[in-house]
Amino acid sequence: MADFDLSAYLGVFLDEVDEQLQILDSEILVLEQHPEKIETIQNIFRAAHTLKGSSASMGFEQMKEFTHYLENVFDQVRNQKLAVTPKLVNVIFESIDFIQVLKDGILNGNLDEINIQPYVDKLNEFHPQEMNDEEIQNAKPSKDQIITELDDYTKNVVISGLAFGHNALEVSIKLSNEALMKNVRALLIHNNLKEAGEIVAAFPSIDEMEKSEGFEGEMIFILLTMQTKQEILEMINQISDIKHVNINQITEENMNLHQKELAVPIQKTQLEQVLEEKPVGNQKAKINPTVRVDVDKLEHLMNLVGELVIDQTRLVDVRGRLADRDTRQEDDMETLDEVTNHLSRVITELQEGMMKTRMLPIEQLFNRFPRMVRDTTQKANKEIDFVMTGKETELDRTLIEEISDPIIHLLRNSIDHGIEPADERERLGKSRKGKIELRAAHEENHIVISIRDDGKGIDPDKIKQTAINKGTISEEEAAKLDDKEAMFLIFKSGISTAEKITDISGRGVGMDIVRAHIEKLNGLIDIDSTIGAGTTFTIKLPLTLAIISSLLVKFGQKTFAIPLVNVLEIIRLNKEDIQTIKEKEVGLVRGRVLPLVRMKEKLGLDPSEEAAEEKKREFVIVVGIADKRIGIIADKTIGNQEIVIKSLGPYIGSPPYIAGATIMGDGSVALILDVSSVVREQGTQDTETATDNKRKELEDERQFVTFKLDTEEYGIDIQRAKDIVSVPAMTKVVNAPKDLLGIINLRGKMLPVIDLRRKFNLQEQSQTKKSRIIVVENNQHDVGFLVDEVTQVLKTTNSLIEQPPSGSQYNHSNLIKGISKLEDRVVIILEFNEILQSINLQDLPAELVSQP
Amino acid sequence: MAVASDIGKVQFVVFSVNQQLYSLSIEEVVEILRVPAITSIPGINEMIEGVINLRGSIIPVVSIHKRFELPISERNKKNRIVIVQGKNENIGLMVDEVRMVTKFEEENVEPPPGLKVDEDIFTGFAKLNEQVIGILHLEKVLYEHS
Repeated sequence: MADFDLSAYLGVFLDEVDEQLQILDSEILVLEQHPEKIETIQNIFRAAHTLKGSSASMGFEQMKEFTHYLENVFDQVRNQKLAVTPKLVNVIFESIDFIQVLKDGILNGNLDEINIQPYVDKLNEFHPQEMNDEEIQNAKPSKDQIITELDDYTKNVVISGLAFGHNALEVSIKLSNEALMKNVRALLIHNNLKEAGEIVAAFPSIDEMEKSEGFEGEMIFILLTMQTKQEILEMINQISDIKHVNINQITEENMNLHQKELAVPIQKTQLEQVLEEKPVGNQKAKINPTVRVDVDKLEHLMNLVGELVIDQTRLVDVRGRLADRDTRQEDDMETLDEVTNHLSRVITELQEGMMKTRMLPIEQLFNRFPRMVRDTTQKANKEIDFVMTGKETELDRTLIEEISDPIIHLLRNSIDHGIEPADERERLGKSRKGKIELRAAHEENHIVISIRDDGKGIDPDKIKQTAINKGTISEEEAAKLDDKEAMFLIFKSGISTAEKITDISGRGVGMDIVRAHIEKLNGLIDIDSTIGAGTTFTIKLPLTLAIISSLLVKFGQKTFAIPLVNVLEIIRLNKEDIQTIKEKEVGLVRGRVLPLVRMKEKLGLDPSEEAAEEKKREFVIVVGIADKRIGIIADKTIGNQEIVIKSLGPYIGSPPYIAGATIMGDGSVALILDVSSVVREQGTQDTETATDNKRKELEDERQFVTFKLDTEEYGIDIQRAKDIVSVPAMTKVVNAPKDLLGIINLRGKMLPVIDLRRKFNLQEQSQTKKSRIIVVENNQHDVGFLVDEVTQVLKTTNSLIEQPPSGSQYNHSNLIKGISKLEDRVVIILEFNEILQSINLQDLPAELVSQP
Repeated sequence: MAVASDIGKVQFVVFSVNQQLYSLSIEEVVEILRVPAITSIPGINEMIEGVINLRGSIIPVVSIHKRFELPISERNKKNRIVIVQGKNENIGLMVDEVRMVTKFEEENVEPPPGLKVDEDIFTGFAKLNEQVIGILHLEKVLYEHS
């Protein structure tokens, strides 16, 4: 083969090694449970074989040699010469770990220094009679009975080749079913073989292989070569995605033996038959072709998207200011309006798309755990069932790496401290086997990972006692803590739930570090535990770290961004609700005490004249990290915004309470508040069900997009309105239902547009500059509604919305959800579900409603 | 940083701070900006005025006045930020006025007197049109301060 730079393939190779090790890890776990599963054994064998093949082709001799021994052991298992015993499984796991060591050796360039002998010896205990490659080859089922019918011409060529001392080989190859571009691979094999010798015949013919359709990936070559069977085999194994190779030596004797079955050029070999009968594992669903991208390049693109986000906010900002200043140039304003709206949409999608390229299924991480749980369980001498769900949940690759340690720690904690020994469980009337569930799921803009065990739970009293003994808290303080608060003490350094320290998770370090780690990722951790029934740890993380949603606030003149994931609620406190305890301000919120921080003073920001001005009410932003809650007093809240996190750089370093900076719409720099450091310093526990309250509050406060139709003003839930666009050219639809105005092309998708005037039996009116289409999300297909004018985003609370008097003139066919009375006007809140239903979209032409 | 032997070959950016003239070799200077909005950051070294947004990057700005413990003058239109290359990042220097970009004649450049100056933040002094211009040792200005 031509000389080429192998280092270019090193990355690919290492990825492949990882992948195969992953397969080995998980499949061997399966094997341990079901030693008889043939497809598992096949998978394992194939993984080991692939490892051997690829390390050989990369020229990593040690690895090749070692995996060769491993493969031998699997081969014996496969041929049922070796039983699957726990001892065997342990040695195999050790071997897999050792391959990892070899891989690291390759990375560090000290592969040659690693001695494989001790591990080879261990494997050889299961395999006393050492075989060399040649013997293995001979031991294989094929007895060199050729399977192809050769025509006279070919026979003659082969005979003359044999006379010249060539090897005549019948090489039959089957590509794996999932292999992409089978024909290319076939040609690759063909080319490689051509370099090794002369191809006398090929089945199917080369022409047929070249055609992509109909070629199933099975092929036979008749080859005359000076190389040995083994050399050819290794050469072919360098090509990936080969399921099976069989090489038969052609001799003058066996050449003629083949008389039957003229019509079938390819007959399946024994092994292939086995493979066919037992389809390989559970065939995965169709996988989209992927491209590997350099992380740096991706990072660069990500940064560019970040710039775009900033530009977009700037544009919106300018638009807003222009709108205030000058209403005369309405046309221009509208164009700007449209452009900024469209740009926002495109950027949001681009940003999401970019982010998704960085998203990986958490499977990558989860796959490491079964093995770890098994080992830990064994060490702890317990019996545990480990279940994982939500492997397909995707999150940012940087997060996947970062979250690994905390999860491992929590899992170990569950195994070691949570689950009771089997005997004790039995005594308690539980099943002998404990159960640990690891679950990942998306929840809105977060990922939630929970680790649940059905063990003994956390005893708050015990924790309190430990904390008192260690001097973490005083007895007085302990007495004040409720159960949940006590539980959170395990996040304090040095406090462990274990009665005795083991080498698995003991020594009292850990949980505090777990929490610190999660906080670093802008996440939250929560514990839920019932004595005797089990414990659940829940971690909540943002989907990505690069761009976050934040709440913009003002401390004095300065704008600060607070990561939204930390914001639990925003409340306004009356002066009388703010009290001073031990020279510290606290707020009374729903009967509970919330420590308050005047961030402006804390940061030493200009105590300007306006600060002296007494305020009747204060904005309080309740933030939380893990178990702690505090209220940050801000002078003003500005609103939510997506921000791009920028580091302040090494020259400035990390000033207190500041996590970084971001660029605002006007080009100015705003600082990002480091909530965790503020909370850590000031927070006390308040584990009151803050999320419930938040939910209640959210339910209470409602936002509506309001629009005008004729003289009335209507509102639609802001969640339902996906987009607001000005009216583009519209295509009329023949035979359309009466409400359907036409269809428009919205970013490549067809959007049916309903005329609400018609719907409400209002007089038709020609469109004006103010006419807009509100795009409403509706199951699979969005629908647009033409309205006369979009007026505002209305914030109101449920209490301000009245039920429409039944039978009133407004309430035709339940279209109205309620009426919001504002100071000088009335907004009718529409029930869009009813409206959508009444339109009966089924009547629309099929191509409209079946959007991709 | 300008090495003595290079003097005479490279150009220098000359700027004033509190009537004094200072210079940096043009190779150390990335660009010169009008003063944009500066966001101060609480709790950092006082000589750092704050940060600015330079086309999407956050750049710290060091006040030369504060660095040299000079009285702070009123801001005016001539004020500039000289962006220089720090270690692994660009850093802005806030100066009163950028006067010129020029070359110094080698014979007009003298090494620092050594005794008088408390900190050796100068690599030398250049004489130009009857004026003395201090050639700054950028690294020491930025990174070695009390």
